[in-house]
Amino acid sequence: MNPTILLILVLFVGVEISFTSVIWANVIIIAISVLIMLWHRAPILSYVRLLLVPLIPAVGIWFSIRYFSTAQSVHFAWVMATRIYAYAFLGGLFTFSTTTEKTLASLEQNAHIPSTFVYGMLGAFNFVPKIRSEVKIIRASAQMRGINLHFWSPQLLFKAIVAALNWSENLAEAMTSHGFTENAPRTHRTVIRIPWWNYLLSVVSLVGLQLLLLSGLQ
Amino acid sequence: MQQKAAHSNRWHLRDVILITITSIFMGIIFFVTGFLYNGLTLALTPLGMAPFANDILLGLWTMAGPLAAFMLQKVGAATIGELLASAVEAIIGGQWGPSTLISGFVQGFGSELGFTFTLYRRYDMASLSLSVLTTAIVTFAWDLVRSGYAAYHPWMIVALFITRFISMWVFGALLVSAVTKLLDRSHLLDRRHA
Amino acid sequence: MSKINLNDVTFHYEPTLPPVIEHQNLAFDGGTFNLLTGPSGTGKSTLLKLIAGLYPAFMGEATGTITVNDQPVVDLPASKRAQLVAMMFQNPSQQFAMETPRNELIFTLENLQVPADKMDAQVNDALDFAGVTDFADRKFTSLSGGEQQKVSLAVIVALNAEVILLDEPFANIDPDARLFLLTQLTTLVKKYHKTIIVADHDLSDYEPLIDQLYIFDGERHQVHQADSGEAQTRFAAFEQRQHQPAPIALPAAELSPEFTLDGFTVGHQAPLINDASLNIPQGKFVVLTGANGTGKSTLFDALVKLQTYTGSLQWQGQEISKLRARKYAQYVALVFQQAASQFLTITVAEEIALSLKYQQTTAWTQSRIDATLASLDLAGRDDQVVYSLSEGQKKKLQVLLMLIMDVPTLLLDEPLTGLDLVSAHTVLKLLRHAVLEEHHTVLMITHQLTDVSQYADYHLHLSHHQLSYEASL
Repeated sequence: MNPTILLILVLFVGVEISFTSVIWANVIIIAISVLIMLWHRAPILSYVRLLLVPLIPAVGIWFSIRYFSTAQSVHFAWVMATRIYAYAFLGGLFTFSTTTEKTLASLEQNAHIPSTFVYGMLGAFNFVPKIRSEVKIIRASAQMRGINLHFWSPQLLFKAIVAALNWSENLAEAMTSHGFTENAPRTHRTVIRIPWWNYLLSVVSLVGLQLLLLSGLQ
Repeated sequence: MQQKAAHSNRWHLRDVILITITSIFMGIIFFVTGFLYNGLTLALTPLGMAPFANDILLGLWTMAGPLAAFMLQKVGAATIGELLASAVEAIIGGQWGPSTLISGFVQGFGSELGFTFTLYRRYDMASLSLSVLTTAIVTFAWDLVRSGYAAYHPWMIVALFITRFISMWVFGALLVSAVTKLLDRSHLLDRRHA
Repeated sequence: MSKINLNDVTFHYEPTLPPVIEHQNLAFDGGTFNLLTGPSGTGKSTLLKLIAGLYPAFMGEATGTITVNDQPVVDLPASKRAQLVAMMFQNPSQQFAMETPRNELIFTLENLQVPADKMDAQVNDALDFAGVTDFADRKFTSLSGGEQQKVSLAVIVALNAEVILLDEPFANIDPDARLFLLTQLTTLVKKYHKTIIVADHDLSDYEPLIDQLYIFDGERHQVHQADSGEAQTRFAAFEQRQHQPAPIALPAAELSPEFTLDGFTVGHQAPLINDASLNIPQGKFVVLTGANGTGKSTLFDALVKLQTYTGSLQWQGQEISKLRARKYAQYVALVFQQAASQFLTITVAEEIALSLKYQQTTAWTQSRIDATLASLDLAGRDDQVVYSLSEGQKKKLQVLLMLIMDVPTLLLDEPLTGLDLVSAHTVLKLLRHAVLEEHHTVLMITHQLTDVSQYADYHLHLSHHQLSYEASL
């Protein structure tokens, strides 16, 4: 499925289940996500991760609703716990249906997000390994001066921004010299299209969700 | 001829790169807080107080907006800065959770309001504190629905809100202000054309 | 008419600062290979960025006009300008937007609005010319500095720009890659009539290649074209400054070791240092040399726990990978290659106060610091922002800050870069003093070898993935 269409669909479903309290809707969303992940042959470990990561917050909220909500409703406790899992599995569904590069390319070509944002972000992501080692360097060099920097130390974030300023300047200049003009038209070696069935599938999914929410199921 | 670029509200390539790289830095620096969050949640779960873990640390995740607003001083900088940060979280975390992007937007919008109310003229502790207040209110309204906070007893709702405000003030105002003071004194932002 | 013309160009970074370039008139002819030289930090890179149209768009304020093919560069949109003037940047790893070389070339051609069906052929030709084909689909993060500069050349070829500017392009790359790039650049001039300007402070290998030499005079903020006499003098002076080695002792076997390498291997993709076994003695001044990109800094990173390794690397009999970083930093400290990495505050006085606050002994008193600041020509700069110091001043301050800490073992990565000869001697004297009087261990990487043998005890050399002591320096 086209990443832009899928992203919009996933966001829409995510917002809608935030406003409704139907356990079955959450469970069915989780089930459909698992089916799609199976179809994309997601590794076993990713299911384990998706089950474990939300476990602590889901259990936490279940108990707090049971203890401290005015109604102390078991039903609402389960709504909240399954909602957290539904968010996580919607994320899993999206992650295994596409890649970051395809998503950004589709956002440029289909959603017409300004190219400055698309390529600025792509360029910045090349710095991830450098950023990891820079954080280590900042910490180590402070230790060598007798100072231990913590995540709440202003100097740590300040030094990080100093590096970010430097790198962003250098990369933006280089990209400009590689012909990148902010928000100017570009050609595309790979043109990304939206097949007609994407629209159909989105409409069917959304209608299905509304029926589910209105069906009187809990 | 005299050549110099003028200040504008447009986002330039280097602004996008700067804010994205800064967000990645913050993601990596604050990575440890993930464990802190889980530990706190676990500790508070038997007491039924787990949501407090979220509100105690929430300030860390709402720093990107005010920081971007300070660094770029543009209309919309807080919103777009926070949205970029949430996209970074989605991509680096390998988890394109819809909730990440939605919360990013809600937080950014909340933070933006504070700067809008000062007509984008003040970038100091007062506007930061106002921005923290609007962020706390807007994100709390969203959590009343999304995280089911509305179902709690009124005293718990008030306690959660106060916790959230304090966390956001400590990180989003106090820490951001300390960092931006260093930036101001270094004059490193002066050379960049807006 | 010349290819590139500068007409009364003046450039400031900020109106309050003195100009970097002042009333500059200059012309470069088409189809020539030009070398621009001068001390680091004078403004060579500023001049290139002005010609490339990046300044004042990104920074600073300019007056006057710069034309390429009679077109003012500032008036062109970036995609048109890129096809006229291309640039290779100083930091190899900070010039690509995409993940792989092939995608960077596609990105470039898309920017130029090349039709999709024409792209692949152009991409492959450019990759081939620059010798990138073999690693075209590898991630940039896994490529060496030399490989990354080859990709930069491929982008320049794909842009097919008439003017090619190179800003200190060989600072971080190995000699083989440098030679290959120089050969291909010469081909671009001779066969394709491109106009090339390279900014470089290192003049080696250029004399037979270039048509014109340009010299940046930092005092006058101006560049002038050297006539053949001046060019010859310059090259001859550079050759002479090239260092005459002096004999130096080899370490005796009975010296107690500070560091012990045993089957030590380190490297990112391929090993840089392979299966090295030797001792680095305690309480001595050891100089580490080796060509660019051979792994000297990587060895330092391993010595301070910033880099993983295989085999054994011990500090005073303890395996470094097993030591606690925080504690270890009180015994072994690194003076980073990027001076700014070491700064934590804003002004010179604040930095010194910070080092005084955390120093391990009281060997450095305020009066000793003041005297040293004066001897380093840094006196009276207490309130200056450290980031606004020149590169040389940053280096000197950084070395002083780390000396004040009084850590027993100090590793220094290129502390002499950008320093004039007098300052270099002062720094070397300070280090020598730390070894002789305070019994510290000093291990220093340097390219600048002039007179270093007067201060050092031993010379450690890295080449062909091996470390060995040399009898001359």
